[in-house]
Amino acid sequence: MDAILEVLAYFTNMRFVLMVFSGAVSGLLVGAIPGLTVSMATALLVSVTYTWAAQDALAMVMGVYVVGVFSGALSAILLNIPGAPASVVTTLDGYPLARQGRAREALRYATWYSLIGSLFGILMLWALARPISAFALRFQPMDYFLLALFGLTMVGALTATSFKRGLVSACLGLVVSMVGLDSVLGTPRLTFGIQQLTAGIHIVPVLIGLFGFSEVLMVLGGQQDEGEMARMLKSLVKTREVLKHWAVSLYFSLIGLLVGALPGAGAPVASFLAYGSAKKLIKKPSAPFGEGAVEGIVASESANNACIGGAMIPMLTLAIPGDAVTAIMLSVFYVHGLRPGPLFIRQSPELFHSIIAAGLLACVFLLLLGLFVVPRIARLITLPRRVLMPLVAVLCAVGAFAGNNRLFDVGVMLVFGVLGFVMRRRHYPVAPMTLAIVLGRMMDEHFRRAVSLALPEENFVMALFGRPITLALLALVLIVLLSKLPWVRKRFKK
Amino acid sequence: MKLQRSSITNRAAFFEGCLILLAGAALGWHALNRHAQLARVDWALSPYLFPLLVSMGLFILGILLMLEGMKPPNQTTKQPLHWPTVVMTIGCALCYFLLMPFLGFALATALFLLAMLLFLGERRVLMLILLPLVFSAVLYILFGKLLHVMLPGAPVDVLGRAIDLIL
Repeated sequence: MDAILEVLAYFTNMRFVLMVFSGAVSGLLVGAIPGLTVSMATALLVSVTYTWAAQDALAMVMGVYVVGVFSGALSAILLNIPGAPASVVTTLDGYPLARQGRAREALRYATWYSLIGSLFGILMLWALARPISAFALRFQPMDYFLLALFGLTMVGALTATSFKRGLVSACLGLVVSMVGLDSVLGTPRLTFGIQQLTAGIHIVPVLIGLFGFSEVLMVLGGQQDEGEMARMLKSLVKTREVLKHWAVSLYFSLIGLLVGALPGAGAPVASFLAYGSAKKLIKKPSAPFGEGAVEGIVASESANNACIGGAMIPMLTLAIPGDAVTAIMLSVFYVHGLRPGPLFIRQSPELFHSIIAAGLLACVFLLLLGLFVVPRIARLITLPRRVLMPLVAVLCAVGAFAGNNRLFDVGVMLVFGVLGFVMRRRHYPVAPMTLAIVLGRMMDEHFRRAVSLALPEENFVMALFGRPITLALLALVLIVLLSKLPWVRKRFKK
Repeated sequence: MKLQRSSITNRAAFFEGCLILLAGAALGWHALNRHAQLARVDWALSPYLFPLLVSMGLFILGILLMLEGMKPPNQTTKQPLHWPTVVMTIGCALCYFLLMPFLGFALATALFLLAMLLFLGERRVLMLILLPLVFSAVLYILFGKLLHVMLPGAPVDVLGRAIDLIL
């Protein structure tokens, strides 16, 4: 009861509400404009919110995250270009609906079911975070190492066309995370005599480079079409009619929550899975799937928004981010001196409640912006890329500089921007690298601690892997690795 | 023709594998070498234990990628790329980064935006003048004045000085 009152108290804090609102408006624009991504905006926000209180920073980030994931549907429906990867599936039925002059109706469906998905995810986060944290208190150093390794292998498996390339990306990220002073002995490692590297490679310029500047290069070099805007006619569909799919949308939200909680899978996978199950589950859709079935929008939008809560569960309770945005959010915590993990909710309940309150408030703004603002700003998303991208490049430079007031970090941002661009062109995903950079130091520390604790024991292997949790985690890692071996896959196919 | 194309793609994968393998070998050699220089530090506590592990991973992945390079490639649609735009954008960004300490943030930003807009085909004079000036001024005020970020300044940064005078 106290927790509910504490969360509700944030609704009356005008400064807090304003922060979430600013984030929501930014998220709306960033998510809707093709070429700007929620990860890019969150990475840029880390540098802006550097000097703010952690509560304000997280309120704004939550606003961007919740509304940004939803607003990808805007360009998906109107332009047939998904504003974010999570909205790819929304284009399948959203754009055909818009071509029939029912764009406003499609947007209403997207708004309501994004709201249901987001609310479901955040309420589940609220309900499940405590029990998971309590369980995670039993984890030993080796368990943390294996959990992080499981996260990296999963990200590698799910985000890349080739598993090997996903793992290469993760390994390169681990190398980057090791640069700087070693946390145990204090000796410089992989700095090669460069003074600025002694403090390590700062995460913010790396993230801005990988997600921001590389995106600028991808968009400008990609020669993509600007897209043709669908007409917006007045909608005659009633809210009661729109909401009649609420029960089935909870099932899609559950898919989104579970997929979101798996490190690496994220919203694009969730919306594809939900769309696939909608095709099997709904025998008589309003129109054939792919030709303007509102059920397709319901499935995609409920699932991709429910991922938000899902991805935040492992991030807050185990410090293992569920997707790229939560990996960047984790750096917001670190920048503000906070340590997410099993003790986070016990030690900082007010911050946990503020995250929940920000998420719920962002849902309110999602509904208001989706119903009243989105139909009016549709023209804004057709801002030409030749104007937009140079502005984003400047934001990347100033964002990289702002964190430490060092020009060196702008150079780091450029290097990682070009590296991210080359990796994406050669089908190496950048998400495993991001996750590895964020988790690398923790993995290193826990691995060495586990090995030094096990060395004096009589049976070294049993001391390392003998506990049930450790064995279960080791089995998970091995299953992911073995399932990618060609002969294992062939046998299962047979 | 098809055979020729596939061999080119394979060569790329093979070359990438070689690079990853070399990177793994170099990291492993560096880790072993540096650990040997540490006085009486056990491997369990060594800062080079984890780099050694990662180097092994890179080495194995490099070999696997090289093997992949010897197989016929998967049919993937290649996205078109306009290299001159990419090279020019990187070049402009590099100049922006290198010139910022000498020109100051506001002036360097305005010049970078002007160069990029011109290169990307913007020809509206009002847009070419107003956008760089207004955007760099907004960022200068937002980051430099409101968020107290110590943006690079220079005597020649007339734009920054003008904003300082106005404020």
